[in-house]
Amino acid sequence: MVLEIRKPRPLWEILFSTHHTDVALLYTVSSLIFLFMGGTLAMVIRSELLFPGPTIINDPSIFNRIFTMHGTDLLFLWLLPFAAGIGNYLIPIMVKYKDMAYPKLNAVAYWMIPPGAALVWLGWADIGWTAYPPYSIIRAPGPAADMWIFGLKILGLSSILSSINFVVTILKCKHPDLPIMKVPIFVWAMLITSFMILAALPTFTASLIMLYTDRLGVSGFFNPAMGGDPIAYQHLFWFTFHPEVYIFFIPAIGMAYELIPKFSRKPLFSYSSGVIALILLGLIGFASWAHHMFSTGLSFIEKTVFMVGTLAAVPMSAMHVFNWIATPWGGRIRFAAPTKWVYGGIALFFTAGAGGVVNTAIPLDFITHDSYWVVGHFHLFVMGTISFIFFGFMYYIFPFMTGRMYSERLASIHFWLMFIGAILTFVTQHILGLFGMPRRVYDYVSDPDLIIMNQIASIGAFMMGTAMATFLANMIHSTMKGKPARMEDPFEIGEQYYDYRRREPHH
Amino acid sequence: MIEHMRIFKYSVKSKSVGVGLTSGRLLSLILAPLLVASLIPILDSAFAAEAEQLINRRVEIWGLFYRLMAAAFVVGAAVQGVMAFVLFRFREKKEKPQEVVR
Amino acid sequence: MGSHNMIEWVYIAAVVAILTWVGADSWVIEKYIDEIPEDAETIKVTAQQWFWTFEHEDGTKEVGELHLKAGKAYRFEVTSKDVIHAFNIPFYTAMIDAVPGRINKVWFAPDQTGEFLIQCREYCGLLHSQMRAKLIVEA
Repeated sequence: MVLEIRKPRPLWEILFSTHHTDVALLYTVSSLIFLFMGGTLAMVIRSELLFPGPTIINDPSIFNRIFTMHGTDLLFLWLLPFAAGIGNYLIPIMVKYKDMAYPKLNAVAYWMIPPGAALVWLGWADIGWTAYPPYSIIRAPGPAADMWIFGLKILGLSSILSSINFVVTILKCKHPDLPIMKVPIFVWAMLITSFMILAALPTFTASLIMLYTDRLGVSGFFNPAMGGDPIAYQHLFWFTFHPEVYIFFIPAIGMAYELIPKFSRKPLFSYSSGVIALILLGLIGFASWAHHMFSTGLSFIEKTVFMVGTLAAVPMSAMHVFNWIATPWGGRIRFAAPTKWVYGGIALFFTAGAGGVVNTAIPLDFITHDSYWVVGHFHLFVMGTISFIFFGFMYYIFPFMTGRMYSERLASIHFWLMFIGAILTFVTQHILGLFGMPRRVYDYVSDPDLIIMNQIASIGAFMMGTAMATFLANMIHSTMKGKPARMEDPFEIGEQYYDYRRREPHH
Repeated sequence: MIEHMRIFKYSVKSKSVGVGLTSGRLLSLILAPLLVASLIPILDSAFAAEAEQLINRRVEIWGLFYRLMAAAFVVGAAVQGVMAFVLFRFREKKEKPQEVVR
Repeated sequence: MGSHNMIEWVYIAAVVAILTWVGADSWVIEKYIDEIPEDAETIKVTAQQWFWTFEHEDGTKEVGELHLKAGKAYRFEVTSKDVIHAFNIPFYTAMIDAVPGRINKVWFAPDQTGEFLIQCREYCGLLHSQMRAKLIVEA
């Protein structure tokens, strides 16, 4: 077993291993730990915002650090590593190879995460996860901001190294008798994600260096006092981070393509449509970055170009949704936890996307920019869509990892509490934004509408916190004492599960 | 079994064309008023310029917002409605022992 | 493409049509809003950590408060003295970043009298949540 708690393998065997299932286990467990750390910060934020004025935090700078860490942790230490973990488990199996192309590099890429995470967390910076200058240059206290910069550099490098591994494994180590148009779409998703990381991340690496030298005072890239332009940073940042949001999302798309045909007991509606949509999304995702900058003083033509670039990416997402609804048509859907999470995620994805189309309408940016509308929008994506699909996949891969089944009843409670909580919190936040509440604020105007909506959002958040606690209990208990799973087909779908002998790399 | 699947595929083909065109027409019918509504600001602006009046910024912006939200809710209802239908209609039901018909 | 993909083509055509309409409608509205009337009075807005200063055309300065007349068009020239802020009057949907080293412009014509909120809409440090001012529109 990869993870058999009751008859454990020596810990050093897992820690020093380079086998893909062990590295995957490390990625997955670490990402879940960081998920809970970031989620705890969210509970603190929502408790503070229950009432205007100081509620449980007296110092605004602590609040500023909390939201910075919440965003930074969940984006870089939960979403990316979890996808890398699942990729590590499944890519070698799906391309019918024995391991990743570079097993040692694989382990090295993972082990860069703990030091990067330590620098970020111990830094406890207050610059927001976007780190806009001039604040991050001239006003943000060091060493917090400097540690954040270095931590992110290391994490970025880890991402780039693991992307190289994925690309080579998929393209060069694929079994010779397996045509590329017959690999599962999850493999395509990880391939495209990896190419996007390789294209997008170096820009951010450069920006981090420039930010650091600006902080030292030896350069003036973004510092107007030294002739620089703060808006240049935003262009560089969003050139990376708009594609990055697709990098967060595309692995989840791949997972949905893995789960839906299996749990509908029907073949995928259109494989080629899924692949084409992913490739186009990967390309067009690079054409929309400045929609994050509509309020910075861009010209009319620039704004138009980026609005068109943003809208151009929507039909691809529509193609995926079509595939996901057409596939179960005529099938026999097995409603286990993975199915609920995937379809709940797709429902919230649609809501998030619809809000996104509103965001990209240039005049509406005057209403929504940097307000709670944006907060609601992106949380519906990263939590309501991506994390939901990740949770579904976590349940799906649980028997593979542990040889046991989780409690379906607890998983159901987890799902329904999260789904209702997510709607309560994130949809309400859209309306809060329309009422004018800015984001990244620890205090708001004492208006009864704002207060009641904040309280509704907080109640939703506490529901989600409770749900995550049941998830944690389920995972821990089931790993130790869960019913042994029927490894050929743990979900009784009628199809072969993953090759479980892979879980025993040292035999 | 394979013949059964082939028949299924053919019926899906002709049915899907029909369903596609019908739902396309229905959706256009529902969304057409929005298209008309978006012509109003153009007329507004033409009249305002003629009368040398200032356009009311917030009215135009919120007007656009409501139009887009209306479209989003219509499309959302259609897509989510189909999804909910599919999930309900094709769910796995417990197989009861079949009664023998004499 | 297989024959059973016809419904998908219709669906994508519908999606593209709706998105085209979204883009066109937004473009038209943005075009109207973008044109600043020639006779608009200029107000210089300066943001700094963590308050707002306003300067009228005739040199009058106001701190934390801005007095305007209803029915008149105003052009705001917005800048910052330190970090990026954002000048926002939610009621009048005015929003533009205040960037040091740069002057951004936004305009509107207040049509209602009363008191309205001016707030900062870009994270700017410790007291970002408190960086507010008052807009007073008189007849």
